Amino acid sequence: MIKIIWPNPSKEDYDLASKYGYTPQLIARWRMLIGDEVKDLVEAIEKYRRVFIRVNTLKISPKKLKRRLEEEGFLLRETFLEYAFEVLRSPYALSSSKEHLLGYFYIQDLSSIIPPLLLDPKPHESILDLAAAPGGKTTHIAQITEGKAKIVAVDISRKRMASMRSNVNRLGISNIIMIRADGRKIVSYGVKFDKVLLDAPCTGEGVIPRDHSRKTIRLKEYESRVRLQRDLLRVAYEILKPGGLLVYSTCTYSPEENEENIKFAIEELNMELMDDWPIYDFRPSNGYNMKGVWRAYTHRQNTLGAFYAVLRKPE
Amino acid sequence: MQSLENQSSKRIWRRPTKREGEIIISKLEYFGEDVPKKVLVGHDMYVLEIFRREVHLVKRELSKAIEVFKPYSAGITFGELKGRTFMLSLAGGYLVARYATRKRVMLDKEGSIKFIYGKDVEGPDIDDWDEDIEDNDVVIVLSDKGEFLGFGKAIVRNLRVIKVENIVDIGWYLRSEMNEI
Repeated sequence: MIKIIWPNPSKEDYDLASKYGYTPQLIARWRMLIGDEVKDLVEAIEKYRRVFIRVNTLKISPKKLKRRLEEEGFLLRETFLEYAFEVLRSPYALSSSKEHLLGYFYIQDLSSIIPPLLLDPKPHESILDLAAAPGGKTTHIAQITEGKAKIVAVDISRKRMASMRSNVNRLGISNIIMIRADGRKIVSYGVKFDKVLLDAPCTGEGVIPRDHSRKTIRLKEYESRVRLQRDLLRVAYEILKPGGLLVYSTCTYSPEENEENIKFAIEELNMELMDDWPIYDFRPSNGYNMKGVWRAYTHRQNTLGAFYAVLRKPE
Repeated sequence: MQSLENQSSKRIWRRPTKREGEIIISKLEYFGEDVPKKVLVGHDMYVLEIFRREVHLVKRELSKAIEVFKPYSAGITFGELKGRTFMLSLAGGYLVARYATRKRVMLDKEGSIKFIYGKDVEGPDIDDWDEDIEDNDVVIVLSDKGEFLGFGKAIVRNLRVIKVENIVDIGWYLRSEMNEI
């Protein structure tokens, strides 16, 4: 039974919701998570304009790309990751630069760069990306493994798969197999993987700066998302080899899609939470009433919103 | 010839036939004798038959996965077989250009920008070219930095490449996304 908290909004919640065009219950839910910081969060979301790029180190070095883009008039700032930059100034659209068309970088928020790092993929491992398109995280996995891992990417969307195919070709990556299918059906192939990335389809509260339609999410959508996420967690469990690693991530603040799903994975699927996993210098916030999982908030981490957890299937 | 048929979507994955392999190799050699060896090392080629014959280049370790999953796509879309010819894709062209020693035209900075906007280039746009280029040859077009921009058709007069007609360029990656919107 999936229970979604749908609180009665306070007057302050209604005022904030009305001012910025949100469903009042969404504001009330966020207040439940972060208290009075909710106003800071909403204001940060309204102002968020940051742009990041991930250098495709299979084609070019970070130093060389930075120099190239700066010669074109772009201004870049370094991040905690040597191959990720923030773009502070663009004389023209980044996506129409020669460097982008040549596949030298991928435009990707810093919060989305984290999950493949947590997965710690190694060359020659078999890796499944369960909700892969348009391929930002999949191609990052390929890059980390220097093109030597065996990567299978699954997504149900025809349009997003077409984008993924274009991205894989543009970035010049030859170690990804792309399957257009419902991720829940992948078990039927009878193949097991060393690692699984499940960047789960979610309500997308964390990406409101990119998609304002997420401001008015309905209760029913939370219920259907949690159902799908749990189905995919079951698939991830089935498809992992014993001892295999799962990184579960979302781009939402919703505890039912985050911590409650991790609780589900631990209690119902008997997975082990790797609560001591290194999270680099990213400095995320702790989980909501749960240790060993992490959150990114726009007003704290100054990125899009996200959630991360690392789980292991027992031996 | 073993084919891996996915009944529901009529996608057939198979290895190239001997004749198809010869056509592909011949096209790669057109750009340099060593190109096939250098481009194909560590990879297997697969033909995906849908309503056309796409050639895919996949890391060898993933060959078994193609047989199991019969995927939507695999590795790099290297090009397309049409009748008795093989046309390289943009992704294929990028790989080939790294090792090509023949049939290349290099543009200057302004020419490079024009070309990736889908335009033909001529005169001062063209900086240099390989001497083996003949009139109406398909050529690899390179930027002022020697990077792959696309394919063109060379117009040669008095041993000079005076014009390159745009066949396909890397600007397609952006234009195709905009068309989807």
